[in-house]
Amino acid sequence: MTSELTKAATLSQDEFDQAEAIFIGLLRESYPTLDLRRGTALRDLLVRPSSAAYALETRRNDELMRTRSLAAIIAQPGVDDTDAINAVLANFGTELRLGYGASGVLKVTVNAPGSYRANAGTVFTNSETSASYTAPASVAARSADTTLRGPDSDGLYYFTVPVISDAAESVSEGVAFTLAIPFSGYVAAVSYSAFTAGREDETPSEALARLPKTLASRGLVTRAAIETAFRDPTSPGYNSSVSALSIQGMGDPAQQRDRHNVHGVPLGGRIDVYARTFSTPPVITLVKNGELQVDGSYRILVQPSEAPGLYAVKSVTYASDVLQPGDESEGPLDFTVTRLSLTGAAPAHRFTAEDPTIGTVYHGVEIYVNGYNFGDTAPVFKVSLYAARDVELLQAYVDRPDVRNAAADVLVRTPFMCIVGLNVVVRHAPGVVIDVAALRQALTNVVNRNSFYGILTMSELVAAAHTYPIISVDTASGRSGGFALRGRVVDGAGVEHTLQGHRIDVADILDPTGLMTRQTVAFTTSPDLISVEAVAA
Amino acid sequence: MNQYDIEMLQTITAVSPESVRLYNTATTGGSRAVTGIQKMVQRYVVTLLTMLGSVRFDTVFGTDVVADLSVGMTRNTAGLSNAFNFASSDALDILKAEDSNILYGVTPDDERVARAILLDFNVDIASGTLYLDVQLNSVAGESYTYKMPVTITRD
Repeated sequence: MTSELTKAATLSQDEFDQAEAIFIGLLRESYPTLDLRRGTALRDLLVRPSSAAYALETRRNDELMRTRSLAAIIAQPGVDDTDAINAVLANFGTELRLGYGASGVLKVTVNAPGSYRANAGTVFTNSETSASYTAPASVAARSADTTLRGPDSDGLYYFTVPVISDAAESVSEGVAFTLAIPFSGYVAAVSYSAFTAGREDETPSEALARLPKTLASRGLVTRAAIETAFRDPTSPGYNSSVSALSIQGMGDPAQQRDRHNVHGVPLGGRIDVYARTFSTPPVITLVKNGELQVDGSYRILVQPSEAPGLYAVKSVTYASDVLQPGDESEGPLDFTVTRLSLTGAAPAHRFTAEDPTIGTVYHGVEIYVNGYNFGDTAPVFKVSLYAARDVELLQAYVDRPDVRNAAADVLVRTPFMCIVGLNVVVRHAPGVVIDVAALRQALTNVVNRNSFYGILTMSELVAAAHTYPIISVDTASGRSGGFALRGRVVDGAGVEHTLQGHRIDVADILDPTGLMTRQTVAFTTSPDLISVEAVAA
Repeated sequence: MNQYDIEMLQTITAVSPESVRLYNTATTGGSRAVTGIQKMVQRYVVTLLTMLGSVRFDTVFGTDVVADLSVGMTRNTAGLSNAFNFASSDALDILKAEDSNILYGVTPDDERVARAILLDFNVDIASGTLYLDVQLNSVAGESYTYKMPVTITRD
């Protein structure tokens, strides 16, 4: 941009002509005896160079006017000048939040036992979207130390490889990936479980909307100030990872940690920060050994350090299983969950026995798989967990000596994820083609923008559907109808609640002692949980 | 009201002392202001000898005469006369358009070219220069013959 502002060669004819006309007018007004016609020496030596300089100066001034205001930048479609936007935002101590790519774990299948290695930088390609995924670190798998598992029912062996991408896409469990240069014995690679989706870069409009929050003073005192502390550009990047915050402090229904006294009244000194760091449900997948119990069940222990920000257990399957969409033959196993008691070193934050640790870095669980006989005292399971790993970084940040509140115990939690499913039938004119995949993504975006509001309505979803060339949305509910909205959410006590209807409202399951309020719940979904049927009217 | 330009072609001799009256330096041979028929001749020569397309942001200013002469397209007197007459006609069109533009005020008759006639030419082989003897007549009736140097060799 700088070169365009300083080089006459980049001027357009219109820019030059306008500048020349103004310059000649000004000069004629002051010095009417100068002959400025074409062909004169004054025209060549004075008017032309000065006009070029004036045109450049005009352009610089226009650029300054254009970039001094966020509103002005936003009003110019197609302008993508991140530096200019950040220059304005820097006046308010913030900057644009960067997006991040999807991440997850691949199951790499090989045809024989032995030693295998996926080097750091190995690139896998999503066969559906062609997005590239890279292994950030080398992974070695050997039969000798059980990092290579199997054989499974097909006689194949497998190991897992964590991968990350620049693409902000959703990936379901069982999606096939390709390897550009397969190694000896390589058979296939699939997503071991649903990936944690990425997020697009923040738009200037979104930055403008949150700007007031950056104007608060920096200190863990008020809600605005707490949010400012997280969004401080000098903090290590949390402005980009946190999309929404809900702060529960003294007197808030979902703040129960400061009520442990004989009268049960809030005394202050405790703050719970619910930080949404995800769009689609974030998943951590572990491969764990079960432990046979005397009652015949199998116990799987998940320590807090293994799944920071653990919110709920998504599924437990045989370690070798990769569920395909619609595949019911190898469904998840039945299990129950109990909270892991906080033993060992006392955490830096105070809990009593009845305080839910759900969503914090101190939350671990014991999973009991019941009703199966695996013929093994320590069978291997694949455990998929809803957990936002960024909570660990955020908690470490607020615990820093230079950041932490001297008067209160600040605890960071994963929001209670209300996993939303939606079935919808849309009608369109004959011959009109509806991009169903894009419509599903649009509906997904509506759900994933909804944090700490507690209500999700059919109206906002229908409004999003009408941005596509449809005639109507079948809003009848029930078996014969075309609209079914459901939400599942687990409260702090581990109780699962189901919401459904044209409007799902957390107020219907309000339970402050289980930390279940509108201010603690974030709606979330992924495209594979949304079914759209387009029919010609 | 007379309008002035800077003197570029110092070999143009003023017809009358009143035509050249302003000097910005006491040093003999320093820059001068020109007006009247001297300025008319200077504007004509600059316009005729400016190569078409060579001025940034004014690519229609100038003529093809220098290009035609320097690449050897003129092989005889008729060709030279032809090239000059086409280019001179273009130059006069440009000057007339400028003279009628009220942005620059009213152009006096002694500064407007009525005709340009190629009287003669000769070539200085040693310097590679073609000299064109051009007679310029103003609308006021004055005439001036200027020996116009055109370099026709290439480096």
